[in-house]
Amino acid sequence: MRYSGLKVITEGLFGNKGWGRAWRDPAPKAEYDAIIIGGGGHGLATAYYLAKNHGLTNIAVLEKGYLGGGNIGRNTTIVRANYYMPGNSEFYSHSLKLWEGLEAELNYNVMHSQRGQLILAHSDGQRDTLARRGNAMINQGDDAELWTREQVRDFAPYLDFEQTRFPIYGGLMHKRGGTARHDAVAWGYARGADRRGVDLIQNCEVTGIDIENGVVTGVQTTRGPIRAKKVGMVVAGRSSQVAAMAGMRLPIESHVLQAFVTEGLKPIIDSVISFGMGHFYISQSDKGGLVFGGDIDFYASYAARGNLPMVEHVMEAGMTLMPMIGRAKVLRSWGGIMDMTPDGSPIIDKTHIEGLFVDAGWNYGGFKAAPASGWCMAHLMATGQSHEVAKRFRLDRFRTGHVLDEEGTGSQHNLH
Amino acid sequence: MRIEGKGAIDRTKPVSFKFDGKTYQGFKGDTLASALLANGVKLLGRSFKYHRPRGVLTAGSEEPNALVEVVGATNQTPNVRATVQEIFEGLNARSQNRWPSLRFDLMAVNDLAAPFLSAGFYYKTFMWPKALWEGLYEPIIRRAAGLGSLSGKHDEGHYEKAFAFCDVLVIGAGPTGLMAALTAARAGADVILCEEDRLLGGRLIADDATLNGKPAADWVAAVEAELRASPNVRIMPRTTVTGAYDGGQYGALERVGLHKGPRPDLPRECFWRITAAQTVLAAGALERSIAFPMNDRPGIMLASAVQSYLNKFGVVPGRRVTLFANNDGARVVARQLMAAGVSVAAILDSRPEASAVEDCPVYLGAQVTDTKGRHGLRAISGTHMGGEFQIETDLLAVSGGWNPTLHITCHMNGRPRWEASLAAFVPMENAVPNLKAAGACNGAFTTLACLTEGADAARAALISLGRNAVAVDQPKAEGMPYVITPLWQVAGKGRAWLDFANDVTTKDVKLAAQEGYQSVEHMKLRRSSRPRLRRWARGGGQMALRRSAS
Amino acid sequence: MRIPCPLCGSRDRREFYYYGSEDYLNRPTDQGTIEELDNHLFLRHNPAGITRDLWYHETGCTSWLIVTRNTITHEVLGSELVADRKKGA
Repeated sequence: MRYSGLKVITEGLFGNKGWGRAWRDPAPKAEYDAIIIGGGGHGLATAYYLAKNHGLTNIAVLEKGYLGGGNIGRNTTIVRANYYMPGNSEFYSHSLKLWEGLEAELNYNVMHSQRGQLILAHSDGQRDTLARRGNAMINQGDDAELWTREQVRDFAPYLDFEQTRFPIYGGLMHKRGGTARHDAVAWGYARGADRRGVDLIQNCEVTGIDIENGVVTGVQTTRGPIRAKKVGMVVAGRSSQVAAMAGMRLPIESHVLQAFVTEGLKPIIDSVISFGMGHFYISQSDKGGLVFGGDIDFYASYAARGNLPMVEHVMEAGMTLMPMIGRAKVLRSWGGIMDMTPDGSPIIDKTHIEGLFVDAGWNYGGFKAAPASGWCMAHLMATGQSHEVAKRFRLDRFRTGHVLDEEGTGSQHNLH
Repeated sequence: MRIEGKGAIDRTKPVSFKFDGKTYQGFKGDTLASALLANGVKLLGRSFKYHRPRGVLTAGSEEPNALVEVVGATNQTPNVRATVQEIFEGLNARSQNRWPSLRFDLMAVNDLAAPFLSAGFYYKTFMWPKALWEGLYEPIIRRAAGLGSLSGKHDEGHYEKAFAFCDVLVIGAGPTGLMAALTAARAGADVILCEEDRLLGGRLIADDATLNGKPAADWVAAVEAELRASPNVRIMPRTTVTGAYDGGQYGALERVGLHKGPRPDLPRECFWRITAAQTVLAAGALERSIAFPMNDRPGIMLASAVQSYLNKFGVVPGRRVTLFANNDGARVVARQLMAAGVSVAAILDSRPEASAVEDCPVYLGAQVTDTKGRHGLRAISGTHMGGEFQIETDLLAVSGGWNPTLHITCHMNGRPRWEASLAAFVPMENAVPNLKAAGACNGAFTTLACLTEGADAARAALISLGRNAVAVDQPKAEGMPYVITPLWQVAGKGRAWLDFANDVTTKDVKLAAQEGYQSVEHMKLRRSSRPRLRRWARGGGQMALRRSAS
Repeated sequence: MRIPCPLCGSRDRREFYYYGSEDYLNRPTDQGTIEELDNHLFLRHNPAGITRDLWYHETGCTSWLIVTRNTITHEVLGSELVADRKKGA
């Protein structure tokens, strides 16, 4: 069924009785050409592009819970392409281009809204760094504008420009940055994959990975064994546990990242605003809630909930940056489990087991990466070769020294 | 309308305040909602999506409709619950999410377009031409969404934060919490008692209950006096416990200055980090509505809220009251209204087998199928014994049963358990380490059971602390069993609201299920709804859906 | 969250700095291979369940601790001083 404004109106006139299921609910078959473990944003995008770009339709996505139940539904919905390091730049640039065509591609309104992302500078040194990052973005073919303090003030007069500790010296505006409706991305890819014949199997937990003589042969699940010559592990948040089924240790520690949303408010924050010095970023959803987050809770956790110190830190950072939000009420908070790699960059690679692939380590930034991650993982699984824009996301880069240290904090686990 | 001799307000202290530019008078102890209802104001807000006229639904922090902006000299606070905000001299409030005025809101055109604004409609349209999403569609959606507004000015208000430690934290000061606090206090434990309201007593006061054959308020006053005199007890009224965290830590927000006029010497609020060795959750229960067609009009309230306004504020927001219920609780409300001289048109009891003996007409097996009165209820119609009826009424008190306030037990991934006999979810045991849910939040829906569970929970906490409990006399209380026959939904033509805050109707949930978004989380995200819906969908909602399918 | 310090007692998590998995203490010898160093520095079991990790009591006694915790429930099961372990205690 094709979605359109006309369809919404005709259905509305006839009691909305004609809307069919967004996707089927198939039973797992005994064998597929390829299996994707994980029905989150990245897994569903991988399945979609395997079917669309590579013609592989005899595939299944195995999800232990419900589709889109992981980090694709637990984030702050920011989409941007403002990376500095070669290796990251081209990947996120590719992802943003896919976002820009996603509604037409999926016939599903994911509400991608390019209302801009503004990163603030609080010292001359930081402004220089932003200028350098902006140049890298422009060289990559993306957009960036270095804004003066007055330009920032015209755009967001509610910021505290005279804050003693963090006065605002200017900012870097990335106009093609913005937000999207998080769950719609998962549902749009799910519906698109399903229409191309992919089996999306919910409530199907993988309990083992079958390997014979170094070659993957299938998986064990709570709904029985399933054979496949290719298996992709796309389970950020649980990567270490699934990799352990194949006897692997990954360069990943799991941490909780909390985020928050306020009650609905009339529009006041028009773009994404990032306050790097306070580990704070905020935007306003179409529904009116202020959506904001901060840093990870900073200890290994799978609890999908955080603790008070980081809650308070985030609130304090918000009050420091834009004291007007003291009058808003937080409606709810949530915690997602982040795959934290030592250098802050992801992994899309083969493993030492033939036919077993891994897409993991998205740190805090998996949401915006979902389209390109699916695109590149599908390319890797179909062709056996890394895609050009993801070729530095190697599993062994720490051992070989080819780290992608975007944060500039060094590649130790505790530094993230 | 005020009722003489009722309510815990101070009638010697009139307070004047403004709502939408007009000056009204209430009394010290009134909330904004009770004072406006006493002045005959029924229309307080507009709904989130369809901009439907809305009035007060509840008498507490769970209020989804009566949200207002409180305007100060230099700033404003959006989305303040009129049912929580206490009035003070010079309080200036205004309605929100309407243009140009509350009575005449042009955005109400959305209500006419409702058939096209079905569940998740926006995912299916606004895609072509691409440029119009950001240029036209999205700005319109954004402007229509949201409720109150921020001023954009710096919040110059003063706020505090503090740490506190105790042996036993008691959350809620109704019958359960008071009994728990008293038991723990007498044993010498360090106790913190947090209560969201300004008064202790919870529903003992709101219900005008009887203990030891006397007004329950007497017992509450005696317990409060003893607790206040105990050096090992800290009573924290106007304090909402907001979250449970690891290691026995709780977040709590205290309203320090919000209920007073501008006071530069006081913080507006204080955020407490309370570390407790043991915790008794005595948060009570929230009444729920019934999803009957057009159940969202101003003048349709929860029966318990009608009772609260009568007994706590001496206010009855109507002249001819009708009750619609699926359980016995509403009978007491009807009797108290009649005793206060209020005309009760009828009790509509959806249970065919319930008692018909009351001092007013009782219709058994009756259901409300439509309501009239855009800015205030005028009449209802319904079915009874295969026939139809219409009743002129300006206040409909609804009770669809009670839901335990168990939210805190879910903060550490605990999942509530469905209890069919109560037609409600009850807390999972040990969902939060060293926390015991007791009383109504644990599914004990009689005063007697609340008192007993409160004392038992405190004794269990004392044993864990290695202390000996001291005997505490338990007052004599009613123990009438809670009898309910679930009624989730009344069939009919009009829309029936499940989630007033997000304008979610039964049709939206059915459509989401029809499209395969069956996980409750899917439904919640699809309709952007809150736990209210989750509860409906997990329990009765699914039952209702099955019924409608078969 | 509260962390039990063997010297100071139960303290708020704010007083501590987190230093990651206990693996960090098990440094290979100077003759370690690249694989051993990779394993030591970067690869982790990252258990969903009981873990042992390093915490520094920064605003307390400044001791280094090994804390045994559950990463799913956040239950803290115990702690010991790194110094004691080095002494072979």
